[in-house]
Amino acid sequence: MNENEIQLKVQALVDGVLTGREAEELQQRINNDATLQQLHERLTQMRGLIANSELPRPLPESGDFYWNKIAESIEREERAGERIAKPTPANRWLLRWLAPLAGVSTVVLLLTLQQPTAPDLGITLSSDHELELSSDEIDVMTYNSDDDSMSIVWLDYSMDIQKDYMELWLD
Amino acid sequence: MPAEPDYSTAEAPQLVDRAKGGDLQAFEELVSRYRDRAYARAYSIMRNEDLAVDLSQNAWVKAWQRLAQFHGEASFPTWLNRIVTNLCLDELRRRKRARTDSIEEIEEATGPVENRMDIQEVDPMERLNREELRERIDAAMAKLSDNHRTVLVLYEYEQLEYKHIAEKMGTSIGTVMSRLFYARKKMAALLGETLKRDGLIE
Repeated sequence: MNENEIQLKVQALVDGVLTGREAEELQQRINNDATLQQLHERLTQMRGLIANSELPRPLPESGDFYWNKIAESIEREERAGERIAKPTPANRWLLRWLAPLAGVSTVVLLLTLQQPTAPDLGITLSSDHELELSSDEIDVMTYNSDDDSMSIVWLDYSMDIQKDYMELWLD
Repeated sequence: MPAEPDYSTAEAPQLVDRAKGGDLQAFEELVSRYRDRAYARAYSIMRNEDLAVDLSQNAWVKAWQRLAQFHGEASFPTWLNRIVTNLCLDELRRRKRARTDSIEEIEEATGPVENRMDIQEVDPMERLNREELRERIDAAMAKLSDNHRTVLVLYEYEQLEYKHIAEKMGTSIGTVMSRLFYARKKMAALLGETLKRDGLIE
């Protein structure tokens, strides 16, 4: 046991945490060691001094002012709690029907996304160079400019589409 | 129709029962009786008037919300002061996250400077009355680090066991014992200094 450990043991003895044989052995050691005796004495003294020495301390503001802030907070939090805890009838109906629907939709979406085959995007160009898409699985936005002889197409797709399927023709 | 209770003369358990039933006036009476105590505990830990006021008020709000959990195992003010202490510890943790390790923590990890400092000879009981002594102890507590002061408050004022202090402070029992030891040593040294300065000891 190093010096620090023995000091903490002496403190544990003073605090009544050390009991039984361990306490007896330490007490014997203290009895035979002047330094430990002094430490034991001082720790006992400090414990007696500090215990119950908390100063009574009056509030630095008026009791009414102090209470008003508490009452306001209680009221505010209760109002907030009511809003969360008590849904309106319309909200209750939505929760009752929309929650299961949302769950089913999520499952369907996940199953769809996990399809191993790549989709047939069916991208074709018509004779007047307007872009057409026949896939329901892609959102498309196009920009055509006759002046610049340019078309830009934004494809928004959520599937892992191979490059082979993506061919864009720009004028 | 039941008579309006006389809140000012009602016993605390009666007030608590009424407050549990939603009687805010009964709760106000409890606040009126124990607000100084709650504030004093917050101040003992935080050593800042504004923070102590805010945290003790928050504790009262939490107490109102958790009244159903109070079953009278401890007295109402003891229960309330535990809430105050917990909020103060949360605040200290929040502040600690925002700053780097203090010298004190480094010392605790590597072997503290105070370890080499002898405890001063302090025998002030014969020279000071209890009130003067409390004021000196309070002034010395104010000079301790947050961790040392908190561990002393939890052990000496709150009368918690080592393991409960460790849980509250989110640390090990060994660290609690170490902090308590160095807090007491530091207190002895600080008290010794102040008594010497006042010529009460040589």
